[in-house]
Amino acid sequence: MSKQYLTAHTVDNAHIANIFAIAATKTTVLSVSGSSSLNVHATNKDSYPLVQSISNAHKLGCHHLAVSRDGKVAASIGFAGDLKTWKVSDTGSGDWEPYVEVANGGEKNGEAWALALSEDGSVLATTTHSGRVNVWRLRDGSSQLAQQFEPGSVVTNAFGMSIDISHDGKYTATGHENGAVYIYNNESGRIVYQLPGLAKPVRAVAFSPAGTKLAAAGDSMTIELYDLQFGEHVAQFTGHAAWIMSIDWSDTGEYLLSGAYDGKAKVWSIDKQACVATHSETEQALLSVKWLPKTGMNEMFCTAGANKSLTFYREATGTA
Amino acid sequence: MDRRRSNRIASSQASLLGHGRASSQTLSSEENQALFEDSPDGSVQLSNDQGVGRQSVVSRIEDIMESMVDSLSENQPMTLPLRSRQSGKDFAVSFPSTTQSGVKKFTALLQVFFLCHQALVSGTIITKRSIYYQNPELFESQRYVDELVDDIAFTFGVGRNELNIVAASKGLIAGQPFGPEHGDQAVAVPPAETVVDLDLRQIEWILVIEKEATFRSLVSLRYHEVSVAGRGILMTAKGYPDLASRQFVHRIHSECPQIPLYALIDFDPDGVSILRTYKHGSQSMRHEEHVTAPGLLWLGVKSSDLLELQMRLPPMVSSGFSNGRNSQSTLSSSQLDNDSESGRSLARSLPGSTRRGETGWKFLSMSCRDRTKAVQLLCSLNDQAHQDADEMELTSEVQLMLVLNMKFEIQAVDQAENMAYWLDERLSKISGWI
Repeated sequence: MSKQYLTAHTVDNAHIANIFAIAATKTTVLSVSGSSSLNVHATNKDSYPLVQSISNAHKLGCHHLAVSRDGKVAASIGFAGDLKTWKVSDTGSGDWEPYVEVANGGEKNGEAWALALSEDGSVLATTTHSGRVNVWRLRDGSSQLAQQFEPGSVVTNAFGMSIDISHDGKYTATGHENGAVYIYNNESGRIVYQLPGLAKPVRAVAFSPAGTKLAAAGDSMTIELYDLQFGEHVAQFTGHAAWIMSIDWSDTGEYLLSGAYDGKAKVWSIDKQACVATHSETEQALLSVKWLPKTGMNEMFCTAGANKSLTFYREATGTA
Repeated sequence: MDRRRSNRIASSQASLLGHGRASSQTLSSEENQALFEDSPDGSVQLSNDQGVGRQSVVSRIEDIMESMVDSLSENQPMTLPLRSRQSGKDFAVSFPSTTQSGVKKFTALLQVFFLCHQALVSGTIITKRSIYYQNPELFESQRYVDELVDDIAFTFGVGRNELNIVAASKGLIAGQPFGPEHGDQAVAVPPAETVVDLDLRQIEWILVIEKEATFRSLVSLRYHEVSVAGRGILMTAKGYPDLASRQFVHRIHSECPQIPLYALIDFDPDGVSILRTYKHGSQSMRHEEHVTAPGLLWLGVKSSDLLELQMRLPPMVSSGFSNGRNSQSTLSSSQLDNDSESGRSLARSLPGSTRRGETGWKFLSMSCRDRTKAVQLLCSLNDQAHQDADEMELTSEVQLMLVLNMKFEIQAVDQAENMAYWLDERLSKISGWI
């Protein structure tokens, strides 16, 4: 009952340094690395060519990147703590250009670390070293700090390592260094759930497309699945043998993709609660894995990390 | 030649051990001449200019002594000239003196003049530490000696090195030809100038270790003798290296570039910073020359080691891999099986060793200070006009520390067999022994 994925293409040395984050639109994959540039590769052409490279996007390199589901707004955070937003040019060239400034300089309790964008790119949320969450509203020409979530005394100073915004924009989830997972209501600013933790750093949290489930993973080497109706823990996926660095839901919510520090990528079926495919093209750490938005018949995903390359996989046709 | 070499080693060690035997191990002037001419490159040895400086110091001291004899014969108080480093003014330290501290200063100064003269005439190099141990009751503190030595250098208008007095290195070293033969003893890192006379032909590798505790564990195992990678030298400067240790590393590396020079440091911002200090010097000491060892190779711990080390951690040490514990222990045992071949030689040399015990490694999360330090490191690495491959590696490792939010420390352990085993693997892999 396993699924077959084939390597469709590999862009070798897409960056000169470790690729820390990738994000996918319908036609491109954006990537950032330990070097200063933000690169854009086209996924709708056979050779996956580099179509744009924004040099000096982040002087000291960049560790987090997100793109809105509509593919129009992106945001990235560099090692210097510099937070930048990008938008697709109005000229129709398809190029990315700088968007609004986000005044992040006032952050006293640690730099902005992980980030997430809402579906239309109007809401940006970031975590900080101190565990706080900052939520901005982005409009053309300006950004406004809309909300600050304090997890409270329970996880004071527990570094916020991962964050996601639900597709409907109502909720924000954060994963913390101490294993805690929180879900906030973006309107009220209150904690909705404080989910049973993983006891180890949570390196990835992700809402399912329908917003009914949350997946969390990290150094426990497991993926924990929570139902959001009552905040219950409903499943645990085991099988990775190293820290899980990144997870992503498929468009339909049927599958989860995960990438680990030992270079292994896995696809999990939510229905079967089992791993249906494992890929280990590299022994070097995977740092970011993403499904490509479904455009054709077959599902595709992309992995990146310490081997500095982008590897694209395509679902093999005719499988169960 | 061999006899002469061993004499010199003995003399340099005697002065380092600081038991006041330096004077009994002096060399003939002919050998002394050879001491400074043996070196193929003229970098650190005494240049002609410095030789003149030393010669003038000798005659200045002799003049002072002569004038004291004159004073004695004329029944006048004896005086020693000294120039204050604060005010730059000359004053005289006299005997007899009206104060206790004046008497002490005169006696101490006379003794330092004597030792300095002796060192210059004999061509030996003495440490400030060894001067103190000549007469601890008189000097009372190392600081008192340090002040006097710097005052004398200032008075004569020369560098401290030109008095043939060097600061004692805080560094430690083990392995032949340093320290006793077949020993688990470490000695102080000798002055860089002595390296030129050492016979290092048996040495296959040199390992510079960040932490003293790690160093001591390895020395007690006699790792420098039993390593599968052959005979080696272990060294530590106990954290950030002092000038004397860096001069020594520079010297040994430039004298013997064929011996691979490795660093064993923590996977954390301080470790990387220490590595950079050895390789490229420190910001505050940019005026010093001959203190860098760009060829120093980072043996570990690196991000590429983390996966393997994570798997080796026994469940008790790895805090809370609760869900993955079963798979983890399976992995660690298969890991050991795979490695059994390279482990054999060590097990042979270390009877009764167990590789499953204490690992000597520890994962920690980065503190705020660590993260700040890491970003500073990235800035400073980024400021260089052209990063070479080395610096790109350092940048990449520091970035990974931040992304993983994790550092990895080499711990002090009673049983360092695991460390030795790990080093065996690393050193053999690099030198192609297995």
